[in-house]
Amino acid sequence: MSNHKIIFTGPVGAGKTTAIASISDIAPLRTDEAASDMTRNHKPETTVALDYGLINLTGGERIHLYGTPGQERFDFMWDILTEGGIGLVLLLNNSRPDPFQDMHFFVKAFKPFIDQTTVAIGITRTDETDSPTVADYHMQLQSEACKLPIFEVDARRREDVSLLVEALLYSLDPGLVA
Amino acid sequence: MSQQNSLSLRVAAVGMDERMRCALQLFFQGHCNNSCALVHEGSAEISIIDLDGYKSQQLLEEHRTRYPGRPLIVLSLKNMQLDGIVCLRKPLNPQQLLAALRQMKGQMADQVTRTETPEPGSGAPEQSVQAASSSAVQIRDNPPLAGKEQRTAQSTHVAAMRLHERNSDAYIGSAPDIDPEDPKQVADAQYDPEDFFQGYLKRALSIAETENRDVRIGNQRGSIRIQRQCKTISVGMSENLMRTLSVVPVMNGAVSITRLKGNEPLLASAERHLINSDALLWKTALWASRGRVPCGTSLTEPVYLRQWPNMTRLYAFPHVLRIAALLIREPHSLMGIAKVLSIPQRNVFAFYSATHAIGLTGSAQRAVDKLFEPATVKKHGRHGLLSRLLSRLHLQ
Repeated sequence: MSNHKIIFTGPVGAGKTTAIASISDIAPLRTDEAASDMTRNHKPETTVALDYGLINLTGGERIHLYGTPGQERFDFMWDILTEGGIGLVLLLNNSRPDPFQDMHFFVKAFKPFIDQTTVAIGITRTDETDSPTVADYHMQLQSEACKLPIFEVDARRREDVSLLVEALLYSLDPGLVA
Repeated sequence: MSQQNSLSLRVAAVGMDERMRCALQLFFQGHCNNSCALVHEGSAEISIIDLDGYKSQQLLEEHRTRYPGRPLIVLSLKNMQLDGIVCLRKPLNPQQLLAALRQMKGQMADQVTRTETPEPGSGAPEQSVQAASSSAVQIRDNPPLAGKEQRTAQSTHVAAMRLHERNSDAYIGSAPDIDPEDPKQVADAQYDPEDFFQGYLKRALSIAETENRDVRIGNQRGSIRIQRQCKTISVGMSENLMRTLSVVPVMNGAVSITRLKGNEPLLASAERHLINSDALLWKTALWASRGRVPCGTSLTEPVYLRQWPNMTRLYAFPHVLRIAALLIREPHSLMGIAKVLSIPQRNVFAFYSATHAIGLTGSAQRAVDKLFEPATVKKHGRHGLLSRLLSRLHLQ
């Protein structure tokens, strides 16, 4: 497996599967199943293994897009998934009961990977719940050493997901030229 | 892809009065089994425009500019023939309208099919890049929006737009780089936001917040209503008028700010769209600055960026993400940013003006910020790969 990969993570219903589909060159491989636990309160189907998408580059190189399962009981996979990754896209569902808790949980869980690379945060479902705001998320992260890109994202919109990934790349190297 | 066979479309009715919209709604309910939904133009997949209304031709041109590539149906009492547009003569035959909608749905579904079934082993074919149009992805992934989702789509996506080099001049100008040692050139690169619509807007927002009341700003040709304690603004003025008001200093009496009593009705939904106040400030600041900085801004002293702008909801002009990524690391001077990134100064100046308008940037006052030269940008280990990925994302 090539090491060129970007990891999409976040809680159940944050839009990881949809976001990958938005920028993938292939129809994403999905592993959705009927939810049988507490997840079913949020969505009838959920990702139980991982999602996979692909971006083809000139010269035959490929960027693999992996979406982690939303449920914490699959967190044993996260270390394996992130190994050698370019960076992390964290999607947070603004309509969840405590999205700040979600954010802190995932930032902490992926801290070793984030320290080596970086993370860009997309806030989804802001059309359902306009609070907290993006500014509130920034406030929550004030204690973190770095200031992260945090954008409102409609995971269905390719432009939104693309901008988020671009922000991730420029955070790694502002000198990049498209 | 079961949607391909059903007629599921989000449709905008443009230039129509309430009765015509009602008639369309009834048509969708009856002939389309509710599978078509009448939505705001910002979230629509196709638009139907009535060409017999007042200034309808201008409306059509503006609509095509704002939503290039979106399938269009025009309705008229006359026989019309327009390139790439389905023209239907009024009075409408329901079967003809249904056929037109099906035809458009079919074309969009074809695009999706091309997107999802690339030739085996074709790597990154240009064709699939082209096929991955916005509308194609929406069909694949967007269920029809309804209720609150629909309403909010107006307030968020309308403001967001990706500007490329070819269409960014209107926002960041085309001024050449200046010599920071030349006082005249430095003066020419500055503007006073207070003289522009941007300044009036800022004052109106301040009144709405401090006095806790609704405020209207504009003139007899169009206006903007700011609702108290609300980050969303109701815009009842055309893009052209707003740009006209924004790009030159406001003449005496050309724009007025009115304090409202609070019980005055909002504009009819057909006459307005909603926009986030930061997005409007950002846009008007870009129009006013056109690649300049607010007067009094030092070009050689370091400035800071408090946080990343919410770039998916703002006009993203060339290099904006690069500038943000560099400046968020540590304060830099504006001249220094242009030099480090090897980009035109006007892009940096525009970035500063827009972020300053929404309160994200300012002069770095801490002594430590002026003590050292900013660190040089270290190339990432996979610089080439990441650059190619960026190029690929830009192409999409």
